[in-house]
Formats: sequence, C-alpha cells, structure tokens
Amino acid sequence: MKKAQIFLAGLFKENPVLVMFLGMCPTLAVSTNLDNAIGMGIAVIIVLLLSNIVISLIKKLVPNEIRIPIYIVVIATFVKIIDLLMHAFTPDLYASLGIFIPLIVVNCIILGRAEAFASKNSVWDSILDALGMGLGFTLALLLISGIRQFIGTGALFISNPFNPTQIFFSTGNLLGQYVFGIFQTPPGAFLVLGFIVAALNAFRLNREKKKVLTQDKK
Amino acid sequence: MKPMVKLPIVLALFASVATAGLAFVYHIANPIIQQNQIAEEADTLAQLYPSATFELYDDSPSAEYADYGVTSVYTAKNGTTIIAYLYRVSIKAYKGGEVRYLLSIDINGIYRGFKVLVMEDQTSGIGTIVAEPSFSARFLNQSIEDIGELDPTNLGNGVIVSGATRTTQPTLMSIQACGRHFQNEIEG
Repeated sequence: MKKAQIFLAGLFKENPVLVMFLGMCPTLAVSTNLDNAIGMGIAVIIVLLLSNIVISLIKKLVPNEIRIPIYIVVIATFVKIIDLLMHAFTPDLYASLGIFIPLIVVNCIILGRAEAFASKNSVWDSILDALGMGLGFTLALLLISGIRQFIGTGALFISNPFNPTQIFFSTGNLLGQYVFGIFQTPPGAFLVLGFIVAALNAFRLNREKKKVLTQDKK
Repeated sequence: MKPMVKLPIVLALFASVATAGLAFVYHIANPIIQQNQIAEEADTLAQLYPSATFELYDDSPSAEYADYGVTSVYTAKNGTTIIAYLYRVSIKAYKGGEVRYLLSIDINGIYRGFKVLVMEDQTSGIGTIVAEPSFSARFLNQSIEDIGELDPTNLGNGVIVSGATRTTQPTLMSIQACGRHFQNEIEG
C-alpha cells in the first residue's frame, strides 16, 4: 500500500466517523460548536499519533496473549497526559468537553487502529495512518459541528482555546430568529449525521453507477 | 519462564513505565491546575468583599458540615483584621441539580452575604427562589443562633413555596450547617 493511500484512506474512503461509524459517542455528544470539534479533534489526533507510534515500536516485545491490556495501558496513559495538560492549559475547553476527554480511552478508533494497523506495520506507516484517521475524525466532527452550530444558533465562531475571550472568527447571527434549537440537542446530532451519511452514500452510489455505465459503453 | 509468571511481569513493566510518565506530567501540570483553581476561587470570593484579601481557613470541613454541602471556608481580611468568614457550599437540590453558593458570616456571628454562583436544572419561579432576594432576606442580618433554631421543613411566611422544598430545604439546612461550623470551629 502506497504511503499516500495510507494517509488518504482515513480522510475519505475509510473515514472513521462517516464510513466506519467509529467514535460515535464523542462525535454526537460534543459536536455542538466548532471550538469543541477542534479541541476534541486535536486531542484524538495526538493520542492516536502517540499510541500508534509506541504500539508500532513495541509490537515485537508484546506477548500476543496480553497485547490488548498493554495497548489499553499505552492509550490510557496518553489520554491521561492529554487530560492533565488540557486541564492545566485550556481549562475552559476542558470544562466544555468534560467526560469525553477521559472517554477517549475507549474510543474505538484508537484501539481499532492500534490492533488493526500499528501492531502490524512500520512506525512511519503507523504515523501516516494516525494522521489520516485523526484528521478524518476531525474533519467529520468539524462538518457536523459547523452545521449544528449554524442552524442551531445562527452563527459560526472559533475562539482561542487558551483564551476563550479572544475570538479568531465570528460570523455574527446570520439567521436572526430563524434558528432551530433542536440542532444543539442530541437529536439534532443524529439528524445531521444521518443527512451527511445519506448524502455521501448517494454520491458514492451515483459515482459507481456512472463508472459501470462508462465500462458498459467501452 | 512460565507464561503465568512472564505475562504479569511484562504487564507490570509496561504499567510502571506508564506510571513514571504520568507522574512526570502530573508534576508539571498539577501546580498550574491548582493556580487556576485558586484564581477562580478568588474571583468568586471577591464578589462579596471586593476590597478584601482571602485566605483558606478550612479546605476539608468535617462530615458534620460536609454532609450538608460545606466544601471550604475562607477568611476575608481588611489588612490583617478578619472581617468575615466565607463559606463555599455546594448542595444537590431538586432533580440532583447542583446549587453552589457563597455565604458570609461576620465576626459577630451575623449572616451578611449570600450569592448563588451555580444553579442547575431548577424550575423557574420554584427552585430558583433561593437566588431571589426574598429568600436571602429571611436570614441576612440575623444571628446564627436565631437561624439555627428555625425548622427548615416548616418555615411558612412564603419562604418555602409549595413544590420548591426540594431546593429551599437543603439550602436552608446548609446555611444552618455553616452557622454551626462558625459556632463550633471558629467561636468554639
């Protein structure tokens, strides 16, 4: 498998959220605004990257019988490190993401990539896989969060996670009173996810149909 | 080496390395977390006494008071003179929602200040009554002895409105617990 393919697989073809439906719990729970999406996305990328590197490095040292407990120890350690650092340096984001930071330990994407990829491949490939999967997760989270935030509040904004009073980007309320509060609630998360997945499936089926038609013509 | 011995040793080795890594990060992060918490506490305490300086007096009150939600006690000072004791209280009210407030008792044992900081899941006009001036007016500027004698379940006079007792009762009981702490641990 080419290096570019490993990286791009996580972004589109095997997107962990929109194609493989992994990591649904944080995706649905914290995707109320773009700040949460960026914070959770960066936390998952760092944990995924570090755990993939370490697991790829120690794969020959780990007895097969206890590989899963050891992977969990590695992942939990990195999650706790991120948890402590976020608590210290980004307390507002830490409060906003709440229980979903420690829950990264049981995020299927992390353990799934450790078991399915990092434990069988080189360090370099594992880094590319972690970056692709992590960015794929973050992009999906940003897409869902952006839609929920815009329809639910009428505005889009991104603030500095180290200083929430500093706003990097804000559209102001563009929808006025025509906002749908339901999109800020859990049912809104399911609705947005459902529509995005439906649209992606329609796009994929349409492309496959065109491909078959083109082949028939030839 | 037998697997029964080898496997736990390998797992223990990995866990030890992980523990060392966590200890190192904790050593760096914990002082910053503590500083952030102190800064947050100082901000809330200054809401009652803007010009005072504060010192932690009791950060782990005994169960006799902690069971009623008293989490910490501070002294408010003007220069070197103590002017009041501030109680930080967090109770579980209606539907398990948190009501967190600050209460001050001056050195003569008179309730002087009350400020609700957090109120979760309380019904407007019912549970939220504890944040209204009419609620605090019943005990502010009164002595801890007088308020300590009140029956929180039967106050009458509109202090406890029907349906609001799940919030007002624990709030008043915690206010009385603060008074008992002042009597027993400070005046004592």
